[in-house]
Amino acid sequence: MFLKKAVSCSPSWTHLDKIAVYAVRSFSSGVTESATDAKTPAHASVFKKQSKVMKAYVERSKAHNEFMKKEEQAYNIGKRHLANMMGEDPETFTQKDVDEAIEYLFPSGIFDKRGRPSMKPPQEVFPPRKDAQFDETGRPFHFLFYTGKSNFYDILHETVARLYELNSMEDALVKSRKAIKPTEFDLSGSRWLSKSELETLMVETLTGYEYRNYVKALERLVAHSLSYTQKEFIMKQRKVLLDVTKSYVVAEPQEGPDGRLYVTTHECPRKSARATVTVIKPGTGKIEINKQGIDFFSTIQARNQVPT
Amino acid sequence: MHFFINQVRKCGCRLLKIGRNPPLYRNYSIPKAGVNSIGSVDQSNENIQLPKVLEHPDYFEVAKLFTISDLFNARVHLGHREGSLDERMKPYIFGSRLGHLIIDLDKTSELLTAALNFTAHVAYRDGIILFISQNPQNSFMVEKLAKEVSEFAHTRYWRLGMLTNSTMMFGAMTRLPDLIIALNTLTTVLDEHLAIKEAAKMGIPVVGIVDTNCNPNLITYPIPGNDDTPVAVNLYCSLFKAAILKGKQKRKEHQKYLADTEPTISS
Repeated sequence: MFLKKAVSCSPSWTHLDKIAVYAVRSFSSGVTESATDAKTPAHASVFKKQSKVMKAYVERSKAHNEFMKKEEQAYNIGKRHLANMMGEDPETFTQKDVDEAIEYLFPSGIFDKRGRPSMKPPQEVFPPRKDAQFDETGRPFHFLFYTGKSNFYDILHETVARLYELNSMEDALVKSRKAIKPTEFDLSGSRWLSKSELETLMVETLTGYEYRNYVKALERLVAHSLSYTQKEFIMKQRKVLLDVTKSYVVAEPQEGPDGRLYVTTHECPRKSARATVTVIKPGTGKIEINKQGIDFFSTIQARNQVPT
Repeated sequence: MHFFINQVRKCGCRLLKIGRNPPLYRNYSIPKAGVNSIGSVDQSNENIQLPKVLEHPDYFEVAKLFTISDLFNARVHLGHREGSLDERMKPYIFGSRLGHLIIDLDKTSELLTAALNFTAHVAYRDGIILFISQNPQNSFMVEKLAKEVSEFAHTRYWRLGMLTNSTMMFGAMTRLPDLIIALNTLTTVLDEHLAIKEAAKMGIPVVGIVDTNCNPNLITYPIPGNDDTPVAVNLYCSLFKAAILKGKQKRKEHQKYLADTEPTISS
């Protein structure tokens, strides 16, 4: 309406008006409040927009929430039934109890655990969805939205930004004639996030080519002589591998009442038997088992095994 | 869609003619910051009119952003070798020197002004602007520009159907960009960027830097110029940034003015 008015006011309108009028018309695909509405003020078409996109999103999210609510109710009823079947209190019946009950009631010979029957809360069964990525005019939040993989490409963008930052730091150091001592920080004990880990983190699916590019870009950042300043960012892209080796601590000898050193080890296993063993130094060569000598064991084989 | 593109292109051509002849200046008063000077009240005394942004030939004063010597210093005039010339770029070429084509900066200047003006108008109307380029050397610069002006960038591999099949590609209904600015219209030395054809199909206007080996036919606002040298690309980036920020600034001012005068509309 505003536009029509502007045009009719000036009979000799210029080419630029025409361009802009076309431009405005092309935006109107995303505008539900059409400019033909006589009641809206003249400038509403320029400044107040409600987008079809947002409307569609609100509808979708409403449908999804309703579905999840229904699933949640079904899960709770199922849980109560299970508790009653198992003869337990439905109020204190936990997810662990549910898993055990299912395992008991539906025994399965399937090797793969994911193939066996299960009953999980709907939040775990249905994957999380991305929230609305745009505001009420339909304008996306993320500046790389139109790539379709905004989170992934954002990391690549940040990597390059940091690399340029390091380059300028290095230039400043060279200018000030300070010697750069190459400090490498230790990357051992950690590895890059795997493709699937990265995908779950980004909530985006990646191709092998894209994942290789990601690793290459990060390795380039690591290879920089000042990369230790970006340790925090780099370690976010890596997974620390924990050591699982058991520590073996040698017991300290203690002094007995008679001045001799001794070491006592409890819970020494032999099949289902458990023994407590005390070794004394300096010893006398005597072996005592349950207040008897080595002949406590009747077989030769057992007697041979005792000192080893 | 073709009708639409032709219309917009015709407008661009008309602009060229007017650029050569003395421009049609009328007695426009560019509104000052004061409340009284912004807009006029129409006869019914109900609607408050904003300044006639569309009627002014250069409302955002984009022509003042650059001079031809700026373009020359940024090496915008340097084209490719003679052999790689696209015939459709002939009108924009000044000549050739030592086998290299030289782009006519007078024409570039006019077309660039028109493109910047259009960009500023789109920004003023809260259009979504998408910057595209697939030149790896300049892609970081382009992404940074998009981030700075809070617009959008796509400098990666273009998956086919990002515009034409957007509902499937984004998994939901999506608002498409209202203007695409291509800082490089080629992906390799021979292949055109896929987004150009898709934008033409979807009726999205394209502002594009076209070098001597590019096809300007599907570009709504072609700007003949060097699209490889980082200095030149940096100049384009700073110009687009300035134009977009000017448009957004005016939008903010007018929005504030409208918000302040809202009660008088309802009364």
